[in-house]
Amino acid sequence: MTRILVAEDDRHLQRVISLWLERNGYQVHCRGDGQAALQAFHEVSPDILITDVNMPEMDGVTLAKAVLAQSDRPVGVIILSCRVDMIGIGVELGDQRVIHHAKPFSPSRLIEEVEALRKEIADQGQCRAEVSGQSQYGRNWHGRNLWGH
Amino acid sequence: MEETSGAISDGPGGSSLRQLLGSIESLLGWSLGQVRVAGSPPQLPSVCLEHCLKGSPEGLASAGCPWLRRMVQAEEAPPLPPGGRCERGFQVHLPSRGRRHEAGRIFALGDRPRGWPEEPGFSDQELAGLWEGVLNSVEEVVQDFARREEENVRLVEEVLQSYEQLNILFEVTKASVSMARPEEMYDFALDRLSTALRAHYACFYNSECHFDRTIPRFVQQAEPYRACRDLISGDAREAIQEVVGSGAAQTLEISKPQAEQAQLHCGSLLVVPLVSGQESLGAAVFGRPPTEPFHTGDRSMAEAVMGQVAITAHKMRLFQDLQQMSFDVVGALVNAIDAKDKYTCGHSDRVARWSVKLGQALQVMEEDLQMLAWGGRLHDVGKIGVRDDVLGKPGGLTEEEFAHIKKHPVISYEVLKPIHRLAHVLKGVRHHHEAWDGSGYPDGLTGEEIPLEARIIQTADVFDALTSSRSYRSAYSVEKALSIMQESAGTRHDPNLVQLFVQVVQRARVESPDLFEHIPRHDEAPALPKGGVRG
Repeated sequence: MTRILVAEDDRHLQRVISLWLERNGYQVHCRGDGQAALQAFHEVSPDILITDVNMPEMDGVTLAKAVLAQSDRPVGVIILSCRVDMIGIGVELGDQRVIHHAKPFSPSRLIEEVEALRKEIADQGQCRAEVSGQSQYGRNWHGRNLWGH
Repeated sequence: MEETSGAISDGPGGSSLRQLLGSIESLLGWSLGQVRVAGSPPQLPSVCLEHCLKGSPEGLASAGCPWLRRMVQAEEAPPLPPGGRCERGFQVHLPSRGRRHEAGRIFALGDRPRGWPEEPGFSDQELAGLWEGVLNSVEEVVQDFARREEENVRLVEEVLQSYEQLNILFEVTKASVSMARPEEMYDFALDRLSTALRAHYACFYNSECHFDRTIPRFVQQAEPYRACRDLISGDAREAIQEVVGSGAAQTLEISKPQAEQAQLHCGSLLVVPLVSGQESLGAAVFGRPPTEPFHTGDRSMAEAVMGQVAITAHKMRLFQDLQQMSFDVVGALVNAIDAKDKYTCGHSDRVARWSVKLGQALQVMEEDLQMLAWGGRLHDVGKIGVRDDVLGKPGGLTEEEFAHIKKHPVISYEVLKPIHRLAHVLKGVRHHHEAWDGSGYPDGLTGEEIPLEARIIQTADVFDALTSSRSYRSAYSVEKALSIMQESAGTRHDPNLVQLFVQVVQRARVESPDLFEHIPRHDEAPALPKGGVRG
């Protein structure tokens, strides 16, 4: 089952998002700020992180960067924000696994995006598994573009 | 509690329920167990195990609890009889996590509430009565909690629905600005709505209730289009028409034989008529399996979005009508000019078509092609100011007559000048009789000073004039006409355009044979009369 970590400081919105994701068959873990979410990330090792931007302790962009840098397995990120300056965040972070989704979020689009990320990650995971047997290509999966995927 | 707590998840309500049970436990000194009835195989509650089975599942055969026996034998736990109560437990609807509300069961384990005297001197019967009373209170508290949780879940669902509605309305409104045709709008709205409604397919019927377009989503059958057609031709057609007539969105349930006949997996239909003012534009129909009927919220969302679509589609129709009307008015005007001179019948239309073909060969933009079409049709409008005796005169013209006929491009220009939307056409009309070497009229422009659209219209105009009969000569063949034009390339015509036009004519023989129908295959007129070509 695909695991999703939700970082959102608004308790109500956290609940709305988690219920919707559970309805669609995902296993959901929720945290109220970036710091707690980063800790939870290492505990539950989710496939996808959905994060707000403005949060106490650690903001969503810092969290996303930390997660992308620290994870040893493919992970997708959805930045859920009402901030207009976040629209190009995927390009800014130079990562196609980072998607921006504007608030108020569209429930159906969110599921479409989660599914797209899940597929992408599955492909990458496969790619990594194929390569892991070849020690001369001792790169981590971030280098996937180098061997043409 | 420990053994069964795994059944309580971290989902909505899960952790709060656990908190509630924990408070009751510490307050009363009891153990409370909880088990979900749904899910297979159900866990045997530790409370039952300890109390009714005396710690051993083997005691089941001799246990007096029929529910426990059935629960171990069956895959799914049966409901507690009667009233959801047993001696030590009660059944409660737990907050839903999935689509359907799950029932769960709370079991209490304990002898007496904390603080009760050790030796109260109560009889067994009195104790049983007290126990019953406490259990009732706990049950009430938990039931109340569960009800509130359900309420919360409903509220969350409404919030989700509102978010979806808001987003689709934003998207449809945004899209309506950039879309030119109602059909594009229908496709877009159907696609977005069928995702939001989790519809297995969506189709659009026009106002006569004919199948129009289908967006199959999670298509399970091989031929969704055919299934949709069958649906509309079957008995459901009348039902759909009735809804369209009523003007308000409604849900329809298709009976099983009907659905099977149409090979439909969608037994629940949501029919949303598109109405703008008094006019019916058709209806959108969304389908879901009979197990997932549409709700009022679904209906409101579809109505709101399709309402917006109807308004936009209606405006687009009005705009298209208006555009068509101006085309028709211009057509009437051009026909009036052509009627003045029987030899030029259809000339303006053909010039428009040849101009567009030449424009396409030059790869001009779509808007410029439109402009060429209008320019071609209107280039001779000024002939309205040319005397009939000059226009239809057989043979050559006198100096005075020729000077008179040369006024027509300027008259065309003056006639069209007040029409704001035709501003881009004016240059092409005014200068279509200029010559490459500057010997043309009215302004004597040379070479590339002559606007490109005017040179294009001129090329088309001369070709059609040469290949048509005139009052003063018969028509030339295509080859002869082209060779005449090539001879005057560089003096009268833009040489590059003439060269390109020869290719355009060759291609048109295959693409548009009707453009050649009136042209003689062999020359009927041996020589060009004095006075040159009168386009």
